[in-house]
Amino acid sequence: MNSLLPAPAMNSASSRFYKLCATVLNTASKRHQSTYRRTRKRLNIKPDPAFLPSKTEAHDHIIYNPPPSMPNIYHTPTIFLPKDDKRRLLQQQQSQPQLAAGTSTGVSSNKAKMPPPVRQPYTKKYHLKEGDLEEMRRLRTEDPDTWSANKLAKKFDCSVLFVSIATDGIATRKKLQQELVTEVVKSNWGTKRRLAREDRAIRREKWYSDA
Amino acid sequence: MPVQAIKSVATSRNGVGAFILQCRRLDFHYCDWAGSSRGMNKLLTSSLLPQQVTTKYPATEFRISSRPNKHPILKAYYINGNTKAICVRNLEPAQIIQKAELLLQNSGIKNKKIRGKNVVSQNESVRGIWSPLHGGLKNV
Amino acid sequence: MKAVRLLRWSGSVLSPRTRPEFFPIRQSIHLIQCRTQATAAATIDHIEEASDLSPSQPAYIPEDVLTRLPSPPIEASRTSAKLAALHARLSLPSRLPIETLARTLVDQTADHNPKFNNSSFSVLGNDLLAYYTSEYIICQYPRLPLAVVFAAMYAYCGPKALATITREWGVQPAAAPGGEVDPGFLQFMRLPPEPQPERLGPELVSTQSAMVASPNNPNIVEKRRRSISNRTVYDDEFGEPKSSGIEQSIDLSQGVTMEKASANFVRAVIGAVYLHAGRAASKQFYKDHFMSRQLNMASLFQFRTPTKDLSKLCAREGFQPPIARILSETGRLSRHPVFVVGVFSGKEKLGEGAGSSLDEARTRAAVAALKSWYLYSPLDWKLPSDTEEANAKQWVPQMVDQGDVVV
Repeated sequence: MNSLLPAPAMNSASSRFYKLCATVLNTASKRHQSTYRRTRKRLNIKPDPAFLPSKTEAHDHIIYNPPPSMPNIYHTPTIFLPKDDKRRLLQQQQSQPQLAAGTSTGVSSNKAKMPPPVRQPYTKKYHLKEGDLEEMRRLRTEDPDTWSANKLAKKFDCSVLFVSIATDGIATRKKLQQELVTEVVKSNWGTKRRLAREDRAIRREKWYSDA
Repeated sequence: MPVQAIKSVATSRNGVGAFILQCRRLDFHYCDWAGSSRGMNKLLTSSLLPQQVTTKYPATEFRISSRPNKHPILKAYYINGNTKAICVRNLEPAQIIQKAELLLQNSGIKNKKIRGKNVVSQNESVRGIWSPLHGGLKNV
Repeated sequence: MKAVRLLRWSGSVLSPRTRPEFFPIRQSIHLIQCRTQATAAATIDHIEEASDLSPSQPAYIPEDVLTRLPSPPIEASRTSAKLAALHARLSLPSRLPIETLARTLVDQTADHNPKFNNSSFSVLGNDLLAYYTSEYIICQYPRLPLAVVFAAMYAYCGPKALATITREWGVQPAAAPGGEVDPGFLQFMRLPPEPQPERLGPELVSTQSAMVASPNNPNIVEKRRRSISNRTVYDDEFGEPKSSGIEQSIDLSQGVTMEKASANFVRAVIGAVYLHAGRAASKQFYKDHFMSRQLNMASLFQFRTPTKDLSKLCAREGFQPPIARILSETGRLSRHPVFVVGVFSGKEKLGEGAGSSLDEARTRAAVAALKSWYLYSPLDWKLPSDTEEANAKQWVPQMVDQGDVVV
């Protein structure tokens, strides 16, 4: 998948600035310079005119420069605000198209294309009848080794989660067997692998509390 | 499943609400015999001490005790458990008061260089942590 | 809100205190020069004019009498430099006498006589602390789940927090209680700290059902479902069974841990300020010393099924079902990929998360969305206790939320 980051325009102020820095740093990489001072001095370049306040326009406008960072969770999204909250109106004004361009927090306008979903959204079908469920349970009871949850899900065209809910507590022998296998496999792990797995579990725990 | 909650303790910010002076006790040690205590003895017997030190710092406990055949010292005890002592031999009363104030206004933390270190704040940054994956350079 | 008349029920707390068993001894006390360390100013007088005896100087109590007393005599508090310094350090109102401050430092394990220990003050102070803290948390964040409210209460005024506050106030424990001890020390029969169970992660406010003693008969242990809303009725302000709180009848000869004794001391100070200086002063004291403490509410949450919770929330509130979308990414096929995923309900972005896998980013985004729902704070929130004063503005009803998402 291609990167979704906007590629920097070749003639933008930033690219010019980077070029300038690169040339400065190249000349600095000489021998017989024991300190960083000369490099620092050379890097003290006059900023690009685009970074300075404009000389032609009057400075009575508000500069809207949203932070290039993850949005703060204490800034409640508009949809979560109660109906009578004053911030609703403010955030709607802020999300006008000329301001929202390139923002990370603003609400995109109608014309803007939505970013691609992580998983394709699907609508639930609710197509299984009581008879199907009984059939599913029967298969699972008769031969749990052949009819795994994955296979049943494919056969009945539903999710694995649904199968596990529908056939809960049927194949207990298989579950115990699986647990035993897991235990045997884990007992063969060395220190490094065990530690790495434990660390991974701790890191995973952090997903549910950090933000 | 309902949300669980992590138990923690709120941290203090001394001076945001109440301000607690960190020096909880200051000891004045003197010697009756030695000449290096002359200034200290003069200070202790004059009215300078209550006028300029003890009444100005009611939150600190002051103790005066003799320490025979030793130089006079000031010893401060802080809330964080540290102690700091200054030897005040041969100093005039005014100089001793200066040293006492130095100890009284101290936080009790070990001295360290702050030059060149990053600023550490408990408060969250207003603009967040810069991320290369958010926003872009703006033409203002 | 109707103000309670103080005199009717605080009479026993504020009445003059005498110790009947020591009364005859006190008659025979003769005035000798004060031996104890006086306050700062008195120390100077002592050096300057050692022979001068003023009638206001406190009585000298012989050592054998002192050692028989369970806690320092009331007279000693007037000459304690430590106590005067503590009074000034906490900027306590001048209407709070130094003798009462000395009494708040005496735990009930040091002195069993309720007229000389801090137990009555600490009961009142505990209620005040719980009231002020809970209204502050609930009015500021009306949507907080109950478990998080309990955790926030624990963080502001739980026993651990109060023990920390005691340390930060510069109060030190006496090695053992007794009449000869300086009244500026915290006095209690000391027990070693309770053993902490070993655990991997952080300590949680448990939401599991558990075996608890029946509230009516403590001998019958029944399996009562300790659901989280059940706790508002049966449990204490931190969502823990009441038996662990201060209302438990502890064995007085046994002693207490440092943590419990310091917690009772801080509660007693609040109670004493309330009784001597009034409601406004105790509110101000609470604001200065407790509300000024910092707690990041967002760090208290521990979700278990954030994606499921979020879709339930959206269904409950009538929003479109949440969809995770990739906002940006880098290095998908490298060793260190970074994905930024946003959760959207329709066109509205609810939350955003970054992670090294799509699953991580999606989970973090759901957590962020749920937190921003729960951590909504009204713009003009007001505390109910602010309207208690005579010239206060009229009470405006605050936002009340329908509660946390139950899956």
